[in-house]
Amino acid sequence: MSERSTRRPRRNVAVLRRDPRAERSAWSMSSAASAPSGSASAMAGSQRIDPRALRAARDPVSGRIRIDRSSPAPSASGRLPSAPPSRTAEQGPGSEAAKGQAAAASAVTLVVIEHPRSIVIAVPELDRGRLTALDRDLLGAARLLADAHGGAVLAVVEAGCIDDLGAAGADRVVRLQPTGSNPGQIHLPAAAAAALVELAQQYEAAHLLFADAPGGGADLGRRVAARMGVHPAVHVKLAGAHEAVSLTAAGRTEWVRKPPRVMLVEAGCAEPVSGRRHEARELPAALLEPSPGLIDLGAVKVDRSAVPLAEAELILSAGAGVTDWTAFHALAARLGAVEAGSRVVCDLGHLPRDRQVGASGSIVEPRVYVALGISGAPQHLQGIARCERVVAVNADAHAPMIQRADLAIVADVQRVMPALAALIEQQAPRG
Amino acid sequence: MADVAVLLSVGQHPASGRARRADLDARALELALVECEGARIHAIHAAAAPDLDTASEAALRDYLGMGLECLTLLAAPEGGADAEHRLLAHLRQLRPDVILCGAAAERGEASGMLPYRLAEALGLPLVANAVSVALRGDTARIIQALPRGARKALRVNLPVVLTVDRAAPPARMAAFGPARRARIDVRAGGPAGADATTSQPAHPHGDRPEGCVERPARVRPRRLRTMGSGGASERLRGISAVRAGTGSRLEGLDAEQAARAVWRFLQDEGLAASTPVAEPRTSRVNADSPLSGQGESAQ
Repeated sequence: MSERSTRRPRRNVAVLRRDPRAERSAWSMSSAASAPSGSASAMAGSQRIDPRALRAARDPVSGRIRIDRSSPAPSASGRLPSAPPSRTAEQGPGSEAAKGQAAAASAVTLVVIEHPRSIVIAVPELDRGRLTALDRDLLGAARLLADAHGGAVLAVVEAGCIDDLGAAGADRVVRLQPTGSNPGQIHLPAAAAAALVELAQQYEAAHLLFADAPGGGADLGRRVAARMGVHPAVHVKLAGAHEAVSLTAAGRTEWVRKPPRVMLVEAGCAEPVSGRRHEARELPAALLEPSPGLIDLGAVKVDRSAVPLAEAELILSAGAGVTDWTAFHALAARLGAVEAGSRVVCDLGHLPRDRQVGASGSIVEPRVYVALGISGAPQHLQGIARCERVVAVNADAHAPMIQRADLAIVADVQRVMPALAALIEQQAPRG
Repeated sequence: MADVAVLLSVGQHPASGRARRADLDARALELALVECEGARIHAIHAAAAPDLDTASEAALRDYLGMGLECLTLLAAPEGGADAEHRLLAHLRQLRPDVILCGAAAERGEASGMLPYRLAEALGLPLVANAVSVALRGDTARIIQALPRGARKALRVNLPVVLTVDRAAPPARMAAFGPARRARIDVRAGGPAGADATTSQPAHPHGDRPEGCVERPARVRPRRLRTMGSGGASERLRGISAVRAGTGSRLEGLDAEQAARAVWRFLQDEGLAASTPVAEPRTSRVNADSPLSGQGESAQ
């Protein structure tokens, strides 16, 4: 084809003039598909027909030319309704009522399991009432176990859970409700373990899954396993319907076994549920009763600024833009924030080396990271990749940190620091 | 005088694999030595094999070098009852007020279930992740470590089982001389008579449940963040998009307005309610334990 298109001009004109751009576009599939009677064919002098491009441009069902303007909406609505009914039909063998309702707005299938054959209890750890990434994996693992036996997932959560459990894969929800004269004094893991053992008996749970995270599921899950007298799988790295892989000997070896009744799973153990929504029907709450001889006296005030960098909740971080170090230390003390700095600051000796955030320092994941005078080198941004919220104060409006931040303020750091410290001091007596 | 039992195990170095003092158990012993002053401390080790090899003995002597006079070794009988039953029988006899142990072992399954099973069998309350213990008559005030450096106080009736995790203060070094001088009391097979009914024959696969296969741990590839629903373009965006902030950007503010904006943001995140520290910090305290500034920081 190209030979002909280049030879023909040679016959008419004495000098060979090649137009590489036109040749390229004549060969390009996409230009032929988007403009079948385009410039390439006009130049060649005859109708160029590219059967592959034409076939690709036709819709396989209607036979019409399909114009892809890469808008997801029409293709999604055209394809989705055909797939979900088959997916919901295999849900719950005993469930005649299992029906797929494609929610018009979200195009997500609602799965209802009316008569489950078995129950899998999943206990998410929750962070301030919301599911964590580990919780979603945990519910995904519970989903696998339940679906393999036509069962349902029963999520047992604290009363304060505000997240959407149905989207995460829970069919039923039981909330744990503290009772007694002084509900604040109930030691949660001990009381919840007793309630969970009762729930497991009541619903004849086939499996109980916990999040193996310190401070929550790790303690609770082991309590439940000990009380039920079962040998649990802990540090479960992979949880499937027929196999559980758990780390043993402090991570040296792994044990592969059939999923035991109680499992404590770690992040990444299974895929989180997506593309469908479960019912999350609320069942009667389970009551937490105080355990004898164990009283919770509440939180102890700690010096939050002494918390290790990786565990900190609020980090106040300084970069090369900070010159007033007295104001910086005073502000960190007022905020109760952990001090940190960029590599430049630690190199200059303003902060100790173990306070360095970034690729060659520590990788941090606080709730809020306040970056003062940090421009945001890629190595520094790596260190804060997992931060939930970032506040940046910087004089340079084009700094990468300003783009990364959830709240970016273009201002002089040296003036903002004392102003913020003064503001906190003002507010302190009230709070 | 209170009795404190500390359960010690032989650990395994994460890099070399050699026997060593288990880190968490050493922290438990440190907690007993520092916080339970005036109490009798009983260090107990339930051996896995009938005779103690030199590497394990050296590891146990490292505990003794922390300032103990003797350690009780519950030797495994020929044919072996498992360690848990020997411990249980010994603890029933000893009746300690506090049982302290590390959160998990470094060998075997290392599931961290032993303290929970002991507490269940003895009918005692258990507090996980203790960082401080104050004995007051027949109760104890315990400070428990929570994630993100938070601490919680609990009052518990004695006796109690406590587990110790990495939040507890690090263990002191072992001194060589005292470690050589200290005794290891060997007790054979636990109390006779009771053993015959409570002991179980050793499993052919160690303590592994049936149908369980052991293999070296593999490093698995990290899962990519995928968005299951939606079209291909949406999935691609989900994987490749750089996580950017929600992007409110304020320019041309004066210092007070900027400070107010930051403060409001922190309030919305629930972090501004913190009680400010009264005096500005002068020096940084031990980063490992937020409470160590109160007195028992490393000398």
